[in-house]
Amino acid sequence: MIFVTIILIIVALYLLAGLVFAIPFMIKGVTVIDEGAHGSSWGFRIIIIPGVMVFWPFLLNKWLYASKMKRS
Amino acid sequence: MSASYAAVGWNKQKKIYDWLIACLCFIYLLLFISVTLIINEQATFETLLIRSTSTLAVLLLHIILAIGPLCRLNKKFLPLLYNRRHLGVTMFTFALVHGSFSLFQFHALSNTNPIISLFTSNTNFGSLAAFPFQVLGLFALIIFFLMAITSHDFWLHNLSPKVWKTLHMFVYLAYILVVMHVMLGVIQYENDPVFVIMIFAGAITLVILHLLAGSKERKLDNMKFALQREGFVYVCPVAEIEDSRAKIFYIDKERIAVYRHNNKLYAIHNVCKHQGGPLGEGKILDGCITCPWHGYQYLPHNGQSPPPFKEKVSTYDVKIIDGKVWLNPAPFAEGTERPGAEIK
Amino acid sequence: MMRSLRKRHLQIWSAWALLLPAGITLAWLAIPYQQPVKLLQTPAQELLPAIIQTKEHDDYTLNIRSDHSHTVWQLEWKNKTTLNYPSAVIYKTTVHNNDPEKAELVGRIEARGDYIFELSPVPHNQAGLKFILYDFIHEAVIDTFIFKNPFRGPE
Repeated sequence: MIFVTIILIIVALYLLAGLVFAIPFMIKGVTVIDEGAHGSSWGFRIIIIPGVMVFWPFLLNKWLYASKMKRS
Repeated sequence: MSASYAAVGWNKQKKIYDWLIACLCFIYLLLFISVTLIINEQATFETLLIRSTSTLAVLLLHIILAIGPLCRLNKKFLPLLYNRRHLGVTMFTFALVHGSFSLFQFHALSNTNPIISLFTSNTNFGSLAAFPFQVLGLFALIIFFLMAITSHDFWLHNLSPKVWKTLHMFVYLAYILVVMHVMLGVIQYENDPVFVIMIFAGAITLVILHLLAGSKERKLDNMKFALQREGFVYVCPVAEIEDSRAKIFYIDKERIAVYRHNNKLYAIHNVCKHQGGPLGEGKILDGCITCPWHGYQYLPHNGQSPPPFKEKVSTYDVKIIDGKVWLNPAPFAEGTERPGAEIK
Repeated sequence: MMRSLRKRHLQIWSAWALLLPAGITLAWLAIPYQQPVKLLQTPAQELLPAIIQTKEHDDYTLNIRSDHSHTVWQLEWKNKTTLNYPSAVIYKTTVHNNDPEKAELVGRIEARGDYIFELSPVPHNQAGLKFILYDFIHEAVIDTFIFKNPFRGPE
Protein backbone atom coordinates (compact mmCIF):
# COMPACT_ATOMS: atom_id res chain seq x y z
CA MET A 1 0.00 0.00 0.00
CA ILE A 2 2.83 2.38 0.91
CA PHE A 3 4.60 1.40 -2.30
CA VAL A 4 1.54 2.25 -4.41
CA THR A 5 1.07 5.52 -2.51
CA ILE A 6 4.68 6.58 -3.12
CA ILE A 7 4.44 5.77 -6.84
CA LEU A 8 1.20 7.74 -7.11
CA ILE A 9 2.70 10.76 -5.36
CA ILE A 10 5.73 10.67 -7.68
CA VAL A 11 3.47 10.48 -10.75
CA ALA A 12 1.33 13.35 -9.45
CA LEU A 13 4.40 15.52 -8.78
CA TYR A 14 5.82 14.70 -12.22
CA LEU A 15 2.58 15.73 -13.92
CA LEU A 16 2.33 18.85 -11.78
CA ALA A 17 5.84 19.86 -12.81
CA GLY A 18 4.72 19.24 -16.39
CA LEU A 19 1.77 21.57 -15.92
CA VAL A 20 4.06 24.30 -14.60
CA PHE A 21 6.43 23.73 -17.52
CA ALA A 22 3.51 23.88 -19.96
CA ILE A 23 2.90 27.61 -19.25
CA PRO A 24 6.21 29.04 -20.60
CA PHE A 25 6.28 26.28 -23.20
CA MET A 26 2.89 27.32 -24.59
CA ILE A 27 3.94 30.97 -24.75
CA LYS A 28 7.47 30.63 -26.11
CA GLY A 29 8.98 27.16 -26.22
CA VAL A 30 6.63 25.59 -28.71
CA THR A 31 7.59 28.08 -31.41
CA VAL A 32 11.31 27.60 -30.67
CA ILE A 33 11.31 23.84 -31.17
CA ASP A 34 8.77 23.62 -34.00
CA GLU A 35 8.41 26.23 -36.71
CA GLY A 36 4.99 24.78 -37.53
CA ALA A 37 3.77 26.35 -34.28
CA HIS A 38 4.40 29.89 -35.56
CA GLY A 39 1.03 31.55 -35.95
CA SER A 40 -0.76 28.48 -34.67
CA SER A 41 -4.03 28.84 -32.82
CA TRP A 42 -4.51 28.81 -29.05
CA GLY A 43 -6.74 25.80 -29.57
CA PHE A 44 -3.70 23.90 -30.80
CA ARG A 45 -1.61 25.03 -27.82
CA ILE A 46 -4.29 23.92 -25.38
CA ILE A 47 -4.84 20.57 -27.04
CA ILE A 48 -1.17 19.60 -26.64
CA ILE A 49 -1.07 20.45 -22.89
CA PRO A 50 -1.75 16.87 -21.67
CA GLY A 51 1.08 15.64 -23.88
CA VAL A 52 3.39 18.40 -22.62
CA MET A 53 2.64 17.34 -19.03
CA VAL A 54 3.76 13.81 -19.84
CA PHE A 55 6.69 14.44 -22.20
CA TRP A 56 8.00 17.66 -20.62
CA PRO A 57 11.57 16.51 -19.86
CA PHE A 58 11.99 15.58 -23.52
CA LEU A 59 10.54 18.91 -24.70
CA LEU A 60 12.66 20.86 -22.21
CA ASN A 61 15.75 19.14 -23.56
CA LYS A 62 14.70 19.93 -27.12
CA TRP A 63 14.01 23.55 -26.21
CA LEU A 64 17.41 24.01 -24.52
CA TYR A 65 19.12 22.39 -27.49
CA ALA A 66 17.26 24.60 -29.98
CA SER A 67 18.15 27.80 -28.08
CA LYS A 68 21.79 26.72 -27.87
CA MET A 69 21.88 26.09 -31.62
CA LYS A 70 20.33 29.50 -32.25
CA ARG A 71 22.96 31.28 -30.13
CA SER A 72 25.89 29.53 -31.74
CA MET B 1 2.94 18.99 -42.73
CA SER B 2 4.77 22.15 -41.89
CA ALA B 3 2.07 24.77 -42.25
CA SER B 4 0.75 26.25 -38.97
CA TYR B 5 -0.86 23.75 -36.65
CA ALA B 6 -4.57 23.90 -35.92
CA ALA B 7 -6.20 22.36 -32.84
CA VAL B 8 -8.01 19.78 -34.94
CA GLY B 9 -7.15 19.28 -38.60
CA TRP B 10 -10.67 19.24 -39.93
CA ASN B 11 -11.56 19.26 -43.59
CA LYS B 12 -14.73 18.24 -45.39
CA GLN B 13 -13.93 14.51 -45.44
CA LYS B 14 -12.83 14.46 -41.82
CA LYS B 15 -16.01 16.24 -40.77
CA ILE B 16 -18.11 13.63 -42.56
CA TYR B 17 -16.00 10.93 -40.93
CA ASP B 18 -16.49 12.47 -37.47
CA TRP B 19 -20.24 12.83 -37.98
CA LEU B 20 -20.40 9.15 -38.86
CA ILE B 21 -18.42 8.24 -35.72
CA ALA B 22 -20.77 10.37 -33.60
CA CYS B 23 -23.89 8.80 -35.15
CA LEU B 24 -22.49 5.27 -34.78
CA CYS B 25 -21.71 5.86 -31.10
CA PHE B 26 -25.04 7.53 -30.39
CA ILE B 27 -27.06 4.73 -32.02
CA TYR B 28 -25.01 2.09 -30.21
CA LEU B 29 -25.48 3.71 -26.79
CA LEU B 30 -29.19 4.20 -27.40
CA LEU B 31 -29.66 0.58 -28.46
CA PHE B 32 -27.56 -0.80 -25.61
CA ILE B 33 -29.36 1.24 -22.95
CA SER B 34 -32.83 0.43 -24.33
CA VAL B 35 -32.15 -3.30 -24.59
CA THR B 36 -30.62 -3.38 -21.08
CA LEU B 37 -33.61 -1.56 -19.61
CA ILE B 38 -36.01 -3.97 -21.31
CA ILE B 39 -34.12 -7.02 -19.99
CA ASN B 40 -33.31 -5.59 -16.59
CA GLU B 41 -35.60 -2.83 -15.30
CA GLN B 42 -33.57 -2.54 -12.10
CA ALA B 43 -30.39 -1.39 -13.88
CA THR B 44 -29.03 1.77 -12.27
CA PHE B 45 -27.71 4.80 -14.13
CA GLU B 46 -24.12 3.98 -13.12
CA THR B 47 -24.39 0.40 -14.32
CA LEU B 48 -25.87 1.49 -17.65
CA LEU B 49 -23.09 4.02 -18.12
CA ILE B 50 -20.29 1.64 -17.12
CA ARG B 51 -21.53 -1.18 -19.33
CA SER B 52 -22.58 0.81 -22.39
CA THR B 53 -19.34 2.80 -22.61
CA SER B 54 -17.14 -0.24 -22.01
CA THR B 55 -18.78 -2.36 -24.69
CA LEU B 56 -18.72 0.55 -27.12
CA ALA B 57 -15.02 1.13 -26.46
CA VAL B 58 -14.27 -2.57 -27.04
CA LEU B 59 -16.27 -2.49 -30.29
CA LEU B 60 -14.45 0.64 -31.49
CA LEU B 61 -11.09 -0.89 -30.56
CA HIS B 62 -11.82 -3.89 -32.76
CA ILE B 63 -12.81 -1.64 -35.66
CA ILE B 64 -9.67 0.47 -35.22
CA LEU B 65 -7.39 -2.55 -35.16
CA ALA B 66 -9.07 -4.05 -38.22
CA ILE B 67 -8.69 -0.91 -40.37
CA GLY B 68 -4.90 -1.25 -40.89
CA PRO B 69 -4.83 -4.80 -42.28
CA LEU B 70 -8.10 -4.29 -44.20
CA CYS B 71 -6.49 -1.38 -46.06
CA ARG B 72 -3.43 -3.45 -46.87
CA LEU B 73 -5.67 -6.22 -48.21
CA ASN B 74 -8.09 -4.01 -50.14
CA LYS B 75 -7.77 -0.36 -51.12
CA LYS B 76 -11.52 0.15 -50.77
CA PHE B 77 -11.06 0.44 -47.00
CA LEU B 78 -8.62 3.36 -47.28
CA PRO B 79 -11.24 6.03 -46.45
CA LEU B 80 -11.55 4.41 -42.99
CA LEU B 81 -7.83 4.90 -42.40
CA TYR B 82 -7.90 8.55 -43.34
CA ASN B 83 -9.18 9.76 -39.97
CA ARG B 84 -8.51 6.72 -37.80
CA ARG B 85 -6.98 8.89 -35.08
CA HIS B 86 -10.32 10.56 -34.37
CA LEU B 87 -11.83 7.12 -33.99
CA GLY B 88 -8.99 6.35 -31.58
CA VAL B 89 -9.56 9.46 -29.48
CA THR B 90 -13.30 8.66 -29.41
CA MET B 91 -12.55 5.15 -28.19
CA PHE B 92 -10.27 6.54 -25.48
CA THR B 93 -12.99 8.96 -24.35
CA PHE B 94 -15.51 6.15 -23.87
CA ALA B 95 -12.90 3.97 -22.15
CA LEU B 96 -12.13 6.91 -19.84
CA VAL B 97 -15.81 7.38 -18.95
CA HIS B 98 -16.04 3.65 -18.22
CA GLY B 99 -12.85 3.72 -16.14
CA SER B 100 -13.74 6.84 -14.17
CA PHE B 101 -17.25 5.70 -13.32
CA SER B 102 -16.05 2.22 -12.38
CA LEU B 103 -13.41 3.72 -10.12
CA PHE B 104 -16.08 5.92 -8.56
CA GLN B 105 -18.60 3.11 -8.25
CA PHE B 106 -16.29 0.45 -6.84
CA HIS B 107 -13.50 2.33 -5.09
CA ALA B 108 -14.54 5.86 -4.15
CA LEU B 109 -16.90 5.02 -1.31
CA SER B 110 -14.23 4.54 1.30
CA ASN B 111 -11.67 6.93 2.74
CA THR B 112 -8.83 5.27 0.84
CA ASN B 113 -7.70 7.03 -2.32
CA PRO B 114 -9.66 5.26 -5.11
CA ILE B 115 -6.55 4.49 -7.18
CA ILE B 116 -4.75 3.03 -4.17
CA SER B 117 -7.87 1.01 -3.43
CA LEU B 118 -7.84 -0.22 -7.05
CA PHE B 119 -4.36 -1.63 -6.56
CA THR B 120 -4.70 -2.89 -3.01
CA SER B 121 -8.26 -4.16 -2.57
CA ASN B 122 -7.56 -7.28 -4.59
CA THR B 123 -4.07 -8.75 -4.65
CA ASN B 124 -4.87 -12.22 -5.96
CA PHE B 125 -2.28 -11.94 -8.71
CA GLY B 126 -1.65 -15.66 -8.47
CA SER B 127 -5.25 -16.62 -9.17
CA LEU B 128 -6.96 -16.58 -12.56
CA ALA B 129 -10.55 -16.53 -11.39
CA ALA B 130 -10.09 -13.83 -8.77
CA PHE B 131 -7.37 -11.94 -10.67
CA PRO B 132 -7.43 -8.15 -10.09
CA PHE B 133 -8.69 -7.53 -13.61
CA GLN B 134 -9.32 -3.84 -12.97
CA VAL B 135 -5.56 -3.26 -12.90
CA LEU B 136 -5.33 -4.67 -16.45
CA GLY B 137 -7.99 -2.19 -17.55
CA LEU B 138 -6.13 0.69 -15.91
CA PHE B 139 -2.88 -0.16 -17.70
CA ALA B 140 -4.71 -0.40 -21.04
CA LEU B 141 -6.33 2.97 -20.30
CA ILE B 142 -2.91 4.51 -19.58
CA ILE B 143 -1.67 3.28 -22.99
CA PHE B 144 -4.77 4.68 -24.71
CA PHE B 145 -4.24 7.94 -22.82
CA LEU B 146 -0.65 8.26 -24.05
CA MET B 147 -1.83 7.54 -27.59
CA ALA B 148 -4.70 10.01 -27.40
CA ILE B 149 -2.60 12.88 -26.04
CA THR B 150 0.03 12.34 -28.76
CA SER B 151 -2.41 11.98 -31.62
CA HIS B 152 -1.77 15.52 -32.90
CA ASP B 153 0.70 15.87 -35.78
CA PHE B 154 2.81 18.10 -33.54
CA TRP B 155 3.76 14.98 -31.57
CA LEU B 156 4.40 12.92 -34.67
CA HIS B 157 6.82 15.60 -35.81
CA ASN B 158 8.51 16.29 -32.47
CA LEU B 159 8.75 12.80 -31.05
CA SER B 160 9.92 11.64 -34.54
CA PRO B 161 7.80 9.26 -36.62
CA LYS B 162 9.81 6.28 -35.38
CA VAL B 163 9.25 6.96 -31.66
CA TRP B 164 5.64 7.92 -32.35
CA LYS B 165 4.92 4.75 -34.30
CA THR B 166 6.58 2.63 -31.61
CA LEU B 167 4.51 4.34 -28.90
CA HIS B 168 1.35 3.76 -30.90
CA MET B 169 2.20 0.11 -31.48
CA PHE B 170 1.64 -0.36 -27.75
CA VAL B 171 -2.02 -0.49 -28.76
CA TYR B 172 -1.46 -4.19 -29.41
CA LEU B 173 -0.37 -4.68 -25.81
CA ALA B 174 -3.36 -2.61 -24.70
CA TYR B 175 -5.62 -4.83 -26.79
CA ILE B 176 -4.47 -8.01 -25.08
CA LEU B 177 -4.86 -6.25 -21.70
CA VAL B 178 -8.42 -5.26 -22.63
CA VAL B 179 -9.27 -8.82 -23.74
CA MET B 180 -7.99 -10.21 -20.44
CA HIS B 181 -9.69 -7.38 -18.49
CA VAL B 182 -13.00 -8.48 -19.99
CA MET B 183 -12.31 -12.22 -19.73
CA LEU B 184 -11.13 -12.13 -16.11
CA GLY B 185 -13.62 -9.43 -15.15
CA VAL B 186 -17.23 -9.34 -16.19
CA ILE B 187 -17.15 -12.71 -17.98
CA GLN B 188 -16.24 -14.45 -14.72
CA TYR B 189 -19.71 -13.52 -13.47
CA GLU B 190 -21.55 -14.59 -16.62
CA ASN B 191 -22.80 -18.07 -17.23
CA ASP B 192 -23.76 -17.39 -20.83
CA PRO B 193 -20.96 -18.44 -23.21
CA VAL B 194 -22.12 -15.89 -25.81
CA PHE B 195 -19.77 -13.25 -24.36
CA VAL B 196 -16.77 -15.59 -24.53
CA ILE B 197 -17.68 -16.44 -28.12
CA MET B 198 -17.94 -12.75 -29.05
CA ILE B 199 -14.54 -11.89 -27.57
CA PHE B 200 -13.01 -14.98 -29.15
CA ALA B 201 -14.49 -14.16 -32.57
CA GLY B 202 -13.20 -10.58 -32.33
CA ALA B 203 -9.69 -11.67 -31.39
CA ILE B 204 -9.50 -14.39 -34.06
CA THR B 205 -10.78 -12.01 -36.75
CA LEU B 206 -8.06 -9.51 -35.89
CA VAL B 207 -5.35 -12.18 -35.78
CA ILE B 208 -6.39 -13.57 -39.19
CA LEU B 209 -6.61 -10.12 -40.81
CA HIS B 210 -3.18 -9.10 -39.51
CA LEU B 211 -1.54 -12.37 -40.52
CA LEU B 212 -3.10 -12.24 -44.00
CA ALA B 213 -1.99 -8.63 -44.53
CA GLY B 214 1.47 -9.46 -43.17
CA SER B 215 1.98 -12.43 -45.46
CA LYS B 216 0.81 -10.38 -48.45
CA GLU B 217 3.44 -7.76 -47.66
CA ARG B 218 6.07 -10.43 -47.23
CA LYS B 219 5.49 -11.67 -50.75
CA LEU B 220 6.21 -8.17 -52.03
CA ASP B 221 9.36 -8.00 -49.91
CA ASN B 222 10.64 -11.25 -51.36
CA MET B 223 10.48 -10.11 -55.00
CA LYS B 224 13.42 -11.27 -57.08
CA PHE B 225 14.85 -9.28 -59.98
CA ALA B 226 17.10 -11.36 -62.22
CA LEU B 227 18.04 -8.93 -64.96
CA GLN B 228 20.63 -6.29 -64.08
CA ARG B 229 22.51 -3.85 -66.31
CA GLU B 230 24.77 -0.94 -65.26
CA GLY B 231 23.15 -0.60 -61.84
CA PHE B 232 19.62 -0.79 -63.28
CA VAL B 233 17.31 -3.75 -62.70
CA TYR B 234 14.47 -4.79 -64.96
CA VAL B 235 11.20 -4.48 -63.01
CA CYS B 236 8.19 -4.78 -65.36
CA PRO B 237 6.81 -3.93 -68.82
CA VAL B 238 5.67 -0.29 -69.21
CA ALA B 239 2.09 -1.39 -69.88
CA GLU B 240 1.73 -2.75 -66.34
CA ILE B 241 1.78 0.73 -64.82
CA GLU B 242 -1.53 2.56 -65.15
CA ASP B 243 -1.68 6.30 -65.71
CA SER B 244 -1.57 8.39 -62.49
CA ARG B 245 -0.84 5.22 -60.55
CA ALA B 246 2.27 3.36 -59.47
CA LYS B 247 3.75 -0.05 -58.99
CA ILE B 248 5.88 -0.79 -55.95
CA PHE B 249 9.15 -2.73 -56.14
CA TYR B 250 11.26 -3.96 -53.28
CA ILE B 251 14.92 -3.77 -54.25
CA ASP B 252 17.98 -3.64 -51.98
CA LYS B 253 15.88 -3.48 -48.82
CA GLU B 254 13.92 -0.43 -49.94
CA ARG B 255 10.50 -0.07 -51.45
CA ILE B 256 10.38 2.14 -54.50
CA ALA B 257 7.23 3.41 -56.20
CA VAL B 258 7.33 3.91 -59.97
CA TYR B 259 4.63 6.40 -60.94
CA ARG B 260 3.20 7.14 -64.39
CA HIS B 261 2.25 10.77 -64.89
CA ASN B 262 1.78 12.81 -68.11
CA ASN B 263 3.27 10.00 -70.19
CA LYS B 264 6.43 9.83 -68.13
CA LEU B 265 7.67 7.44 -65.43
CA TYR B 266 9.10 8.73 -62.15
CA ALA B 267 10.47 6.77 -59.21
CA ILE B 268 10.36 7.87 -55.58
CA HIS B 269 10.84 6.22 -52.18
CA ASN B 270 7.62 4.47 -51.21
CA VAL B 271 7.54 5.64 -47.58
CA CYS B 272 5.59 8.79 -46.75
CA LYS B 273 7.38 11.16 -44.34
CA HIS B 274 4.24 11.64 -42.28
CA GLN B 275 3.46 8.20 -40.90
CA GLY B 276 5.23 5.89 -43.31
CA GLY B 277 2.21 5.43 -45.59
CA PRO B 278 2.75 3.51 -48.86
CA LEU B 279 3.03 6.29 -51.45
CA GLY B 280 2.90 3.79 -54.31
CA GLU B 281 -0.61 2.77 -53.28
CA GLY B 282 -1.88 6.31 -53.68
CA LYS B 283 -2.55 8.16 -56.90
CA ILE B 284 -1.72 11.43 -58.60
CA LEU B 285 -4.13 14.19 -57.62
CA ASP B 286 -3.63 17.74 -58.96
CA GLY B 287 -0.23 16.72 -60.31
CA CYS B 288 0.98 15.43 -56.93
CA ILE B 289 1.58 11.92 -55.66
CA THR B 290 -0.95 11.70 -52.81
CA CYS B 291 -0.40 9.38 -49.86
CA PRO B 292 -3.36 7.04 -49.46
CA TRP B 293 -3.21 7.25 -45.68
CA HIS B 294 -3.54 10.93 -44.80
CA GLY B 295 -3.26 12.78 -48.09
CA TYR B 296 0.31 14.11 -47.80
CA GLN B 297 1.51 15.17 -51.26
CA TYR B 298 4.78 15.02 -53.21
CA LEU B 299 5.76 16.16 -56.70
CA PRO B 300 6.66 13.17 -58.90
CA HIS B 301 9.78 14.67 -60.47
CA ASN B 302 11.57 15.75 -57.29
CA GLY B 303 9.85 14.05 -54.35
CA GLN B 304 9.19 17.40 -52.64
CA SER B 305 5.94 18.46 -51.04
CA PRO B 306 4.48 21.52 -52.76
CA PRO B 307 5.02 24.77 -50.75
CA PRO B 308 4.39 25.71 -47.95
CA PHE B 309 5.02 22.09 -46.91
CA LYS B 310 8.58 20.90 -46.52
CA GLU B 311 8.53 17.11 -46.60
CA LYS B 312 10.91 15.45 -49.07
CA VAL B 313 11.48 11.87 -50.11
CA SER B 314 14.32 10.22 -52.06
CA THR B 315 14.10 9.97 -55.84
CA TYR B 316 15.48 7.33 -58.20
CA ASP B 317 16.48 7.01 -61.81
CA VAL B 318 14.23 5.09 -64.12
CA LYS B 319 14.56 4.36 -67.84
CA ILE B 320 12.62 2.58 -70.57
CA ILE B 321 14.29 0.25 -73.06
CA ASP B 322 12.07 -1.49 -75.63
CA GLY B 323 8.91 -1.07 -73.56
CA LYS B 324 10.59 -2.43 -70.46
CA VAL B 325 11.02 -0.45 -67.23
CA TRP B 326 14.49 -0.41 -65.68
CA LEU B 327 15.01 1.03 -62.22
CA ASN B 328 18.22 2.07 -60.47
CA PRO B 329 17.83 1.34 -56.74
CA ALA B 330 20.57 3.84 -55.74
CA PRO B 331 18.67 6.71 -54.08
CA PHE B 332 19.30 10.39 -54.77
CA ALA B 333 19.24 12.80 -51.83
CA GLU B 334 15.70 13.58 -50.66
CA GLY B 335 14.05 16.13 -52.93
CA THR B 336 16.55 15.75 -55.85
CA GLU B 337 14.97 16.50 -59.21
CA ARG B 338 15.12 13.65 -61.77
CA PRO B 339 14.12 13.85 -65.42
CA GLY B 340 11.95 10.71 -65.43
CA ALA B 341 11.60 8.44 -68.42
CA GLU B 342 9.44 9.37 -71.40
CA ILE B 343 7.01 6.73 -72.68
CA LYS B 344 7.14 6.70 -76.50
CA MET C 1 5.35 1.42 -43.73
CA MET C 2 9.00 0.74 -43.19
CA ARG C 3 10.17 -2.83 -43.54
CA SER C 4 11.21 -3.04 -39.87
CA LEU C 5 7.73 -1.93 -38.80
CA ARG C 6 6.08 -4.42 -41.13
CA LYS C 7 8.23 -7.16 -39.70
CA ARG C 8 7.44 -6.08 -36.14
CA HIS C 9 3.70 -6.13 -36.91
CA LEU C 10 3.91 -9.65 -38.26
CA GLN C 11 5.97 -10.80 -35.27
CA ILE C 12 3.55 -9.27 -32.78
CA TRP C 13 0.48 -10.75 -34.45
CA SER C 14 2.11 -14.15 -34.79
CA ALA C 15 2.69 -14.09 -31.03
CA TRP C 16 -0.84 -12.78 -30.40
CA ALA C 17 -2.23 -15.61 -32.56
CA LEU C 18 -1.02 -17.94 -29.81
CA LEU C 19 -1.42 -15.73 -26.73
CA LEU C 20 -4.94 -14.43 -27.35
CA PRO C 21 -6.68 -17.81 -27.79
CA ALA C 22 -4.61 -19.22 -24.91
CA GLY C 23 -5.52 -16.35 -22.60
CA ILE C 24 -9.20 -16.43 -23.53
CA THR C 25 -9.41 -20.21 -23.12
CA LEU C 26 -7.63 -20.17 -19.76
CA ALA C 27 -9.87 -17.41 -18.44
CA TRP C 28 -12.93 -19.25 -19.72
CA LEU C 29 -11.85 -22.49 -18.06
CA ALA C 30 -11.35 -20.56 -14.82
CA ILE C 31 -15.01 -19.52 -14.64
CA PRO C 32 -16.48 -22.66 -12.97
CA TYR C 33 -13.84 -22.58 -10.25
CA GLN C 34 -14.50 -18.98 -9.40
CA GLN C 35 -16.56 -18.75 -6.23
CA PRO C 36 -15.31 -15.78 -4.24
CA VAL C 37 -18.78 -14.45 -3.62
CA LYS C 38 -20.23 -17.80 -2.68
CA LEU C 39 -17.46 -18.47 -0.20
CA LEU C 40 -18.32 -15.43 1.84
CA GLN C 41 -22.03 -15.28 1.32
CA THR C 42 -24.29 -18.27 1.40
CA PRO C 43 -26.18 -18.96 -1.81
CA ALA C 44 -29.62 -17.45 -2.20
CA GLN C 45 -31.93 -19.16 0.21
CA GLU C 46 -35.47 -18.86 1.46
CA LEU C 47 -36.08 -16.44 4.30
CA LEU C 48 -37.07 -18.31 7.43
CA PRO C 49 -40.59 -17.32 8.57
CA ALA C 50 -40.11 -16.10 12.17
CA ILE C 51 -38.24 -12.99 13.26
CA ILE C 52 -36.84 -13.80 16.69
CA GLN C 53 -34.93 -10.61 17.39
CA THR C 54 -34.38 -7.38 15.50
CA LYS C 55 -32.07 -4.34 15.61
CA GLU C 56 -32.84 -1.11 13.79
CA HIS C 57 -30.19 1.33 12.69
CA ASP C 58 -30.45 4.42 10.47
CA ASP C 59 -28.55 2.67 7.71
CA TYR C 60 -29.49 -0.98 8.14
CA THR C 61 -31.80 -3.46 9.81
CA LEU C 62 -30.66 -6.78 11.31
CA ASN C 63 -33.07 -9.64 11.93
CA ILE C 64 -32.36 -12.97 13.53
CA ARG C 65 -34.74 -15.41 11.91
CA SER C 66 -35.70 -19.00 12.51
CA ASP C 67 -38.24 -21.58 11.50
CA HIS C 68 -41.12 -22.41 13.82
CA SER C 69 -39.35 -25.38 15.37
CA HIS C 70 -36.17 -23.32 16.04
CA THR C 71 -33.86 -25.77 14.33
CA VAL C 72 -32.29 -23.51 11.69
CA TRP C 73 -31.24 -19.90 12.09
CA GLN C 74 -30.49 -16.96 9.86
CA LEU C 75 -29.09 -13.46 10.08
CA GLU C 76 -30.94 -11.18 7.70
CA TRP C 77 -29.09 -7.97 6.79
CA LYS C 78 -31.02 -5.18 5.04
CA ASN C 79 -29.18 -2.09 3.82
CA LYS C 80 -31.47 0.93 4.10
CA THR C 81 -29.00 3.39 2.61
CA THR C 82 -25.86 2.93 0.52
CA LEU C 83 -23.15 1.59 2.76
CA ASN C 84 -20.00 3.69 2.52
CA TYR C 85 -17.66 0.73 2.94
CA PRO C 86 -16.96 -1.38 -0.14
CA SER C 87 -15.11 -4.00 1.87
CA ALA C 88 -17.46 -4.81 4.74
CA VAL C 89 -17.77 -8.22 6.36
CA ILE C 90 -19.81 -9.47 9.29
CA TYR C 91 -18.30 -11.49 12.13
CA LYS C 92 -20.13 -13.38 14.86
CA THR C 93 -18.57 -13.53 18.33
CA THR C 94 -19.13 -13.31 22.06
CA VAL C 95 -20.30 -10.12 23.76
CA HIS C 96 -16.92 -9.05 25.11
CA ASN C 97 -14.77 -9.78 22.11
CA ASN C 98 -13.94 -7.00 19.65
CA ASP C 99 -11.21 -8.80 17.74
CA PRO C 100 -12.35 -10.19 14.38
CA GLU C 101 -9.42 -12.60 14.42
CA LYS C 102 -11.12 -14.41 17.30
CA ALA C 103 -14.55 -14.25 15.70
CA GLU C 104 -16.38 -16.37 13.16
CA LEU C 105 -16.90 -14.97 9.67
CA VAL C 106 -20.59 -14.80 8.76
CA GLY C 107 -20.35 -13.22 5.34
CA ARG C 108 -19.66 -10.19 3.25
CA ILE C 109 -22.09 -7.44 2.39
CA GLU C 110 -21.95 -4.95 -0.42
CA ALA C 111 -23.03 -1.32 -0.51
CA ARG C 112 -26.64 -2.11 -1.37
CA GLY C 113 -29.19 -4.85 -1.05
CA ASP C 114 -30.47 -7.41 1.41
CA TYR C 115 -28.49 -10.43 2.54
CA ILE C 116 -29.29 -13.68 4.30
CA PHE C 117 -26.63 -15.68 6.11
CA GLU C 118 -27.03 -19.01 7.79
CA LEU C 119 -26.15 -18.84 11.50
CA SER C 120 -24.24 -21.66 13.11
CA PRO C 121 -25.34 -22.41 16.67
CA VAL C 122 -23.48 -21.00 19.71
CA PRO C 123 -23.20 -22.70 23.12
CA HIS C 124 -26.38 -22.40 25.21
CA ASN C 125 -24.47 -21.01 28.17
CA GLN C 126 -23.04 -18.08 26.18
CA ALA C 127 -24.41 -14.83 27.56
CA GLY C 128 -25.18 -13.08 24.31
CA LEU C 129 -24.31 -12.82 20.69
CA LYS C 130 -22.36 -10.04 19.06
CA PHE C 131 -22.02 -9.15 15.39
CA ILE C 132 -19.13 -7.01 14.24
CA LEU C 133 -19.36 -5.11 10.98
CA TYR C 134 -15.74 -4.88 9.91
CA ASP C 135 -13.90 -3.03 7.11
CA PHE C 136 -11.18 -5.49 6.20
CA ILE C 137 -9.22 -3.11 3.96
CA HIS C 138 -8.86 -0.43 6.60
CA GLU C 139 -8.87 -3.00 9.37
CA ALA C 140 -11.43 -1.04 11.37
CA VAL C 141 -14.63 -1.94 13.18
CA ILE C 142 -17.53 -0.09 11.58
CA ASP C 143 -20.27 -1.09 14.00
CA THR C 144 -21.22 -3.74 16.57
CA PHE C 145 -24.62 -5.22 17.47
CA ILE C 146 -25.40 -7.22 20.59
CA PHE C 147 -28.27 -9.72 20.64
CA LYS C 148 -29.54 -12.03 23.30
CA ASN C 149 -28.38 -15.58 22.72
CA PRO C 150 -31.24 -17.06 20.68
CA PHE C 151 -29.85 -20.58 21.06
CA ARG C 152 -30.76 -20.59 24.76
CA GLY C 153 -34.28 -21.32 23.75
CA PRO C 154 -37.39 -19.36 24.70
CA GLU C 155 -37.02 -17.69 28.08
